[in-house]
Amino acid sequence: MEKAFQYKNVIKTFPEFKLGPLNLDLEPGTMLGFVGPNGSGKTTTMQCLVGLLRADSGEMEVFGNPSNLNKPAWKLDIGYVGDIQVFYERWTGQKNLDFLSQFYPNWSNERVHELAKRFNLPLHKRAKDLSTGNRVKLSLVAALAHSPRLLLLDEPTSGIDPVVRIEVLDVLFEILESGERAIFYATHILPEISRLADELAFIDNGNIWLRTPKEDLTEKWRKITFLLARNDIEPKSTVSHQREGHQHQIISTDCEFTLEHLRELGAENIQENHMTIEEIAVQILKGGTNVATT
Amino acid sequence: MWPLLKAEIFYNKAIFITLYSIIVPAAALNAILGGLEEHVSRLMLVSVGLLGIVIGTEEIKTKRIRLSVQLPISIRQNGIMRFPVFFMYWMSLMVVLWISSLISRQGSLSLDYLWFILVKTALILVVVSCMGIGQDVPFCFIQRAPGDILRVLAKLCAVGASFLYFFSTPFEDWPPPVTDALANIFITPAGALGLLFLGFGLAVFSVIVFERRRSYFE
Repeated sequence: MEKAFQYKNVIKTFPEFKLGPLNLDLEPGTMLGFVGPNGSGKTTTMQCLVGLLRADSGEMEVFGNPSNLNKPAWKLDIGYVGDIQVFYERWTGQKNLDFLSQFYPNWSNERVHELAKRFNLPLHKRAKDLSTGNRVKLSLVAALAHSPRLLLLDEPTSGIDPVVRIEVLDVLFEILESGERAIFYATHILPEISRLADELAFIDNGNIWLRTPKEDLTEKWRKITFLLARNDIEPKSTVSHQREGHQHQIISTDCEFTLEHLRELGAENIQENHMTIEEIAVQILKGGTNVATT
Repeated sequence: MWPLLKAEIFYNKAIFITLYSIIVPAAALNAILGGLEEHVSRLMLVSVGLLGIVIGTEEIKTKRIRLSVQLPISIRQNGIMRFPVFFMYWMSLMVVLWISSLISRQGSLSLDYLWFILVKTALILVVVSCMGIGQDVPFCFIQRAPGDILRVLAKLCAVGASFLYFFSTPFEDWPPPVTDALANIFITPAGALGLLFLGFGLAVFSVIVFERRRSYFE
């Protein structure tokens, strides 16, 4: 089956930052949450795929089409909402969308009006008079109006009020339900994708440390406290270990395995606590390679 | 590519109308009084410069290059796109000037007039190409320094071509040896064709530089 996108050994170098070598792909019908702190390489990764940045080496494909800048067919499959929303500023939202519609055979004006209504977007206003949130909404409408098979969203809900944010996430959920489309969603705010994402990829310093199904994280990761007189232990499958006297607190990446090990060591009063996706993400990004190899 | 060109023309129509409202009366004056071709053509160069500043400043301020690069058109077409806007504007001005000269000279234009038009057109192509190269070349390098040096060089070339434009048809009150020398070099078939060749070469090179950019952010 064709991948929605593929990065093969992609490298992009800046004077003070290097992305990759990056290997990443996505199946149609799924959503990959791309998580990392500011400056970790999320935006750079997406900008390479849409052609705003030229990779130094490696290959990228979108639904089997190589991302050759002089053969732009692959761009027809992409809807992109970037970190900066760019329009003809003196034109209204509607006129900007009319302009874009000329480039996409699948463009639907019905879809435009349906989305504008759902997002409460004033299409008659000039782009330069739109608020930050409304600019993001206009960008989302532009990205969705030609029904692309791959949506690349770079923190798309930043600046949007909570009501519309829920509406945006509902629209994305509907897109995923069709089963043919894929969403690559970059964010450093986890709650907004924890509902939708099938998998999460964690990036920091230009490298992906971990890619895992979301359920694996919530089911396997636990904060565990226990009592043990010994201080020289190294519990298995943990990314953090704090001790105060006989009281220990660890974060386990594989709860069952760690618990079994703790029992073997003779730990007492073992208590396990569920962790939120945000707590897990913080640990992963703090742990870097340690987490990836645990 | 046509929708993008159409958008640029309609989006910038206010500046086009403003510039036409200066050039067309000047050309009309040439039609009535005669002998003002050089002055009108110099005014045309200034108008192209103003057009470049207005369009370029807004494009950079709003980072609109990001929009066109994301569209499903090739990067080469994007690179070529900067020329039609200027060139169509320029050719429309040339037609206006040509008609005004035809009226003032009662239909008899010498062959020198053709070389005059071709030299000016070629130099405009050089100016626009060098400005484009100057804008794009810093984005072809990882480190800023070499790109910045080449940017300055390209812009100096654009300024040089603008000076040449001004003086390729010398001012009437210049001493005859100077005016003769300049006219003999530039307002000739060889001068016109040589400059046209240079202009087209630089235009092609500017598209290649655009294609070689490492990023398309501004």
